[in-house]
Order: sequence, then structure tokens, then C-alpha cells
Amino acid sequence: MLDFLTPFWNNFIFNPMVNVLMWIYAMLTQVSLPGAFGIAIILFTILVRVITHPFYAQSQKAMKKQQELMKSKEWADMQKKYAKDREKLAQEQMKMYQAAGVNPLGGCLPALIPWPIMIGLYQSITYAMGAQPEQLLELAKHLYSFLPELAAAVPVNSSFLGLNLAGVPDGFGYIIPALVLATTWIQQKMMTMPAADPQAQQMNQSMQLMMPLFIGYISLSFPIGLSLYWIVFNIIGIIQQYMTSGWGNLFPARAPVSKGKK
Amino acid sequence: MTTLKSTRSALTLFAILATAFLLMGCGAPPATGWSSARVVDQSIFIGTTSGKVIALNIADGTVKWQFPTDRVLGSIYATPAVVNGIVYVGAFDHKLYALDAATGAQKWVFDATAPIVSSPVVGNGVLYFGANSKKIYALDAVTGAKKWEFATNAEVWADPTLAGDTLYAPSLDHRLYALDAATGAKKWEFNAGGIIVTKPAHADEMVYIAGLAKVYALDAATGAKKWEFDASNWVWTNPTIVNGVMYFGALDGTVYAVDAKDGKLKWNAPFKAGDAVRSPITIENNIAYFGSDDFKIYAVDTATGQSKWTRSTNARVLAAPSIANGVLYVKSHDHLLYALDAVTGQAKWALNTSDAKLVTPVPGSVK
Repeated sequence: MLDFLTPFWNNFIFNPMVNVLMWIYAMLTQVSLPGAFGIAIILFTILVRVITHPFYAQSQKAMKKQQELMKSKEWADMQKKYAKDREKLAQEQMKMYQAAGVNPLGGCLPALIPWPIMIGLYQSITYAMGAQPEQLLELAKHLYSFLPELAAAVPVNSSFLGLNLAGVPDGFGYIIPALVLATTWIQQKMMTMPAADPQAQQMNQSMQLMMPLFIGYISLSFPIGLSLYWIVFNIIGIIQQYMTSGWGNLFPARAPVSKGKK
Repeated sequence: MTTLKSTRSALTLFAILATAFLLMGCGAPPATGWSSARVVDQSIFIGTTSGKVIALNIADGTVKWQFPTDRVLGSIYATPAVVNGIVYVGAFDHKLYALDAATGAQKWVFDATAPIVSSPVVGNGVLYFGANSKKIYALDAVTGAKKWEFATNAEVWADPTLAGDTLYAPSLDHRLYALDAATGAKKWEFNAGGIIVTKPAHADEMVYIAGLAKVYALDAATGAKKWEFDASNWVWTNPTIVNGVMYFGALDGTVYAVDAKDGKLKWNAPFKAGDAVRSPITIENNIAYFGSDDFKIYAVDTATGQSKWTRSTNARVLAAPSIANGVLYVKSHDHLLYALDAVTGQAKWALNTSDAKLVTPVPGSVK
């Protein structure tokens, strides 16, 4: 159904990403670095996170602005005043958002932009590992022919810190899904804004639990290399989140006050 | 506020679910295998895209037996070998199975400890194949007992070729190994500079192998390079040699015919399919038959490189066509095994290998 998007996706997202990943790996193998593909995944994930940082920062800025507005006395007064008239309340909220220059969806939309890139990253790692013959066949079709060193680096050596990045977790490897779950939970917890409304608060709480459980569960059946990407992705997200908003909802009492705030 | 919160939560939930589905669905192409049909006497033996080995009546495609009946073997990339009434086939479930060709009953099984992609070859009572355990195995074809194994440095996907007392076995470690077929001792090795996924071809004291976008002609006795040919893209088809001409395809859809002696092009211009040609090329009565990622099966005149006919299917065609008594048998990734008139491309019948039922009418068209 979405076949018409395939050339765009391949030429502008997937092909550049998979070639950059393979180029990093090829460079690392030239210096005989052990665990080169694991390191390539880490470096590549950091690179993608850095490139998508402006979207992330914009999203955080919008969310923070909205959070501050919702803590104001005017907002609380409005909630009380129109508590019984939800339609009027919604109208007044929109007015207040407009007056304060806040887009209520401004926290979400910029945050969604990096998601296709994340999917491209995931796809690149999957193809590069070539756990199934079809993946290697597809990889062969996407590597740039003007960079012959990329093709010569195939197949990737998927050994990293005693783990097989192309294999699913077993034995000691179960630590990987546990780390996926833990880092996803921490990042979710830090990002979630406390909600005054009990219904919204309840939804937030279930999201905080469901998302890490879901991601942790599916990582049990994914190659470890993908989980490594997910862990690094989360850790960088946690660092970015700490730098912009402190520990947030993870340690509410210890959340630092912004430097510029009086 | 509740409305906005709900909208935001719903958006987040949608993004999570959409991403989860995309990660699961778009992360990788499905592993369905590309086993080709083996035609022996009045039967066709093939590994299905649903993970079973089936035997069919050559005349009408009715199923004689399927193995196993109570489970699936995982993806089957290997083409079955049939010798002395025994069918040999490896699967992604790490096992190589020996089955009774008449009944499908299991005679013995060998655990290679890793997925098997390579098709087995049999000669002098010995079965040879490679596996993802990075090894090449030689087994007693009757009992399944291991005679020797040879360790390479990467997975072995390509089918080995047996010529005289030498086994030519490529590995993803970029090397072609020439091994003593009786002992597994290495005679020589050749580094192709990239993964080798194609079965070597042997003819007139020469062995031919594709590595990345090159095809090499080597002295079969010493491994010394005689000539090399630069293709326009990676070569994933097994080189096929008939009457001194070698035929192979590349991942950009180009199909070449070159002189096996010196690597010079035979056709005025290479044939161009609509997408990658991965399917090995079968030659019969001066016609080259092959499939492509453009969902089509091609019949090309070997003298001129011009198209004789083209037939569409519903998915890419990775398996090698087999031919017997003027009928071409070729499996597409649409799960169908097509029986086509080799001269016209018209369908005689088609079998859905996922449920072993004949399909009427047969989809696709001929040009």
C-alpha cells in the first residue's frame, strides 16, 4: 500500500544510514578493534541522537513552557472556575495557551520527527547483522557501489563483550532485555509530567509501566544488537533529559530548579 | 486540560504502537527460504516457504508426501539432493535430514548445531554441505555418520561443488577452499575479497566463482587466477556453464553471457531484467531461464540475449528453475510452484506450497 514511499525511504533515510553504519564498522575493523560492530552500533546511535537533538530540545522546551503555565495561579483559578463546564474550560485553556505562546501539542510533534530516523537506524542494524540470508541479500542491494570497502567488510563479526549481537538473548545475555526495560522505564519516568487530573495521572502511570514492559518483552525475541542500540538510545535520552529538566519525575523532590528561574 | 492530556497521551500511545509495529514489520524482510525444485524421475522435491519438504507428482502437482507432518523445519534455503532413493535437505533448524524418497519417512538426521543454508551434494557415497557453524561437513550418505569436517572463518552458505576427488567449497570468509573429498585436507584456497554465496562451477580443468561484483576463473588444480570479469553489481547467481559459455546475473538485474575461456562478452549487450537477478540460471534447448526480484520469470535466447517470453508472478523469484520434459518448474515467493510450458511460458498448473493445494486459475500473465 505504501510502496510509492519505498524509493524515498531507501534513498534519503535507509541507504545513507546503513552505509554510514557499515562505514564506521569498516573503519573500526581496519584497526582490528575487537567487538567492532558493537562499538559501531554505539557510535552510530550517538551520531543519530546528536543529529536529532534539535528536535528533541525543541520538544523539551515546549513541554517545559507548558508545564510552567499549568503550575501558574491563573491556570489553577481557571480550573476551579470552570470545573463544571468542560467545554468552556477547554476554550479558556486554548485562550491561555495562545496568550502564553504555547502550542499544546508542541511537546509531541517535534518529538515524533526523529521516529522515522529511529526506524531507519533499527532497519540498518538488522540488515547489517545479516542473521537471515534475506537480510544479507537486501544489504547487498543497498550498499553504495562507489565505496567497495563496505561490501568487503561483510559479513560483520557480531561478537561483542562475549555476546553474539546477531543472536537472541540466552544465559548471561538476559541482562540485555533487563537493561532495555530498566533504561526505558527510567527515561519514561523522567519525561512524564505530573498531571493534576486523576484520570490523566492514571493514564501516565500505566504508560510508564506498559511501555518498558512491552519494549523489554519484545527485546527477548530480538537480536541482542538491536537491544544494544535501544539501551544506548535510552541512556543518551536520559542524559539529554537530565541536562534539560533534571531528574524530573524520577526523583521529584530533588529536581533542580532551572538556572534562569527566579 | 483533560482533553489535551488525553490527546497527548493518545498521540504518544499511537506513536509507540506504530513504532512497535514498524519495528516488528519493517525491520527485516521475512525469512522464507529460497529452496529450488529438484526433479527426479516422476517426482518433484522442494522445500516450501512454510518450512516443509514436499514431494509432488510431476504430471499434475498432486502431493505425494510432506515432511514433517506435525511441525515445520524453519526456513529452507537448500535445494534437496536426491540420490539412490534418499532425499537430503538441510534447514534453518540446524538439521540435515535424510528422507525416503518414496514415502518421506526420516532415515536419519544430522545436527550441524547451526542453521543450514547450503544445498548438499552427494558423490561416492558421501554427502557434503556447509552450515552457519562455519564448517563444511562430509557425512556417510547411508548412515549419516560424520566422516570429516573442515572449519572456515565464517558461515558457509554456498553449495559446494564436487569434481573428481576435489570438493570446491566457498565460505562467507571470502575464500574458496579446494578440499580433498576423501579426507577434508586443504589443497588450496583463493581469497575473492568479499563474501562468496554462489556455488562454484567446474568445467575443462577450471573452476569459476563469484565474489562481490567479480567473477573469477581459476585453475582447478592450483587455484591460480586465469582471468576475472567485472560485473556491474554483486553477483548472487551460481555461474552456469553450457557449451563453453558462462551465464550469471547481478543484483542490478543485468544478466551476462561470457566466454568461459577468456571472460569476453558473448552478447552484443547484456540482458537487463527489471530488478535483481538472484535466481540461478537454467539452460535448456538454447534458452536461459531465470527469475528476478521484479516478480518475473524470464526465458532468454542464449544465442542473442533477446527475450523469448516473460511471465509475471505475485512476488520475487529467488529459486532456480528446473526443467524436465519441456516443463519448467519454478517457485516464487508468492508461495506458488509454477509448472510452465518451457516454450511458451503458459501455465500448466500451480501449487500453493504453503497449504499443498493446487491453484486454479493460475495467476500471472505471459508476454
